[in-house]
Amino acid sequence: MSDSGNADWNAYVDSMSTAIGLPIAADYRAGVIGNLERMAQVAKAVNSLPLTDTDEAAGVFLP
Amino acid sequence: MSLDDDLSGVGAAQIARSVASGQVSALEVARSMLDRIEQRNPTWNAYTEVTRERALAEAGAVDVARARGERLGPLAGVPYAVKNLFDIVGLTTLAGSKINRDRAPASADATAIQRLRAAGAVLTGALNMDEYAYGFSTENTHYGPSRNPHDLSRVAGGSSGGSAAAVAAGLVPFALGTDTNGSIRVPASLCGLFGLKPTYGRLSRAGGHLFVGSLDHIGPLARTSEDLALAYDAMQGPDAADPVCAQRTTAPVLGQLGLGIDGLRIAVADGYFARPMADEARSAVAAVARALAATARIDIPEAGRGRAAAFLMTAIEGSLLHLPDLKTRPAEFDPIIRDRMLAGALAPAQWLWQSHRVRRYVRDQAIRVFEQCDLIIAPCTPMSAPAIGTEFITLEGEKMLARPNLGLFTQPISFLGWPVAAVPVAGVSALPIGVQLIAAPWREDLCLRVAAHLERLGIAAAPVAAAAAAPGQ
Repeated sequence: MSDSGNADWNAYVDSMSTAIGLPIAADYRAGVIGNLERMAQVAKAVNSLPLTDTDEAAGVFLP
Repeated sequence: MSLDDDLSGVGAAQIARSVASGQVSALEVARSMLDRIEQRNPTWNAYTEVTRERALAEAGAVDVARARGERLGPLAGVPYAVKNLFDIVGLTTLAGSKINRDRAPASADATAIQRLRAAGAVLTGALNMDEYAYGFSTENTHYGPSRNPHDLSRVAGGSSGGSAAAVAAGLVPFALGTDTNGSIRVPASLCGLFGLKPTYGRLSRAGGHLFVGSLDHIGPLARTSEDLALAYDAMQGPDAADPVCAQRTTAPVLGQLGLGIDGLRIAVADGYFARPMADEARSAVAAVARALAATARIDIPEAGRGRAAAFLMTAIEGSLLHLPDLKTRPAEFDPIIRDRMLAGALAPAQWLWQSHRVRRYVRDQAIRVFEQCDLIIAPCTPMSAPAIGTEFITLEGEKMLARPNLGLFTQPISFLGWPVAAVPVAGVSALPIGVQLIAAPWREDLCLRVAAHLERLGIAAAPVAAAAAAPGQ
């Protein structure tokens, strides 16, 4: 889903907001969906990096 | 220095020397600066709280110590202020929000404040910021925007905008900010100041309200590299109260500011950092490169992907921190960030976890640039300060959202955790503009050495904003 430009963010907001108990008021809904669409675009750059199952995150990040 | 001078342009080092020598008392300095803060702050809306009683008590303690012949700290009698996400004992820590007004007052000072107090510094108050540090402009709906002392119609930058406005207006010689994606460097650039974002983990963040713990740093803003170094050195050292703070011995930089640039390999960031920007940003990089005879150009690998991962980590971690309040009182969030916060809280976990894995990969790729150079010059903000209320900017024909893109060039570097000095470049445009001086992890000394060198050459300068320093003001 996160690589998909065709996700149904309207339905996603309904499901996810119910799942975590975070109601989204009608006034905020369009803004929330717009932000999720922007994040989905950004996520493409992150998900396009081929990682293997040995590529760990840094637990406590030490630069 | 005497009280007949206008103290607004006097730096921390000079105040500390004058107090130590007995030319002025700390109490006299504190009273003078507090009076100016109280009279002039409404112009810039930098402070959200002035701690007059505390400042007078701390200054009085410095004078008593001097009278007893005790050794004074390196910041004895120096007034400063902090972004209002740092705990100040007895005050409620707002972090730019309305919601946090309901919280109990802080029971202790943040570690950074404790250390500055031990060095003799005098806390004058708490400073405005974007709500929960989520922004680059300090257009805070609850407390009003902080105004840029160089042009009141323009933003001060953010999220440490009150910190930058206070220093650029000459209300204090230095202030503390925090930097998750650029929140020290963006306001430093837009207000024409020196700013230091140290290595991730160098300075303790304990007692500071988190925004995105994976990316949060603290650091100072000042009008000289010497003052930056003084404040930075005073705050160094391990702190068990911050799980990210490194167990490293302190590495003072003040004594190294005069070492110059001999032997340093200095390069200009290319690739991602050559993307569209305004003329003044490009001119600032060129002026600094010329002054440092830096002709090599290097690419920081994966900088764009790093920025993408930082964006997602910020949106998701920064939002989930506030999930209980998002559930019960969403209407009390600043409308500028509310929808972003709600979206971040709903986002797929995969985006966050992939971003953390990408971070380690990007770190391992990017660190190789330091095989070729010791210091990197990069643009800081893509333009000088936009007008308050600006929604979109156009850079070399490319239209984009203004607020998130002020951090276009800073975000990949905080993601990597590398130390950076933001340095104000003199004479390239009517409004201030800065560059980033970036070094390898734990080499803050190089950032500040080169900053001091540019200052001596007259290429970097951070005078008090002319309008704020005008006679009779």
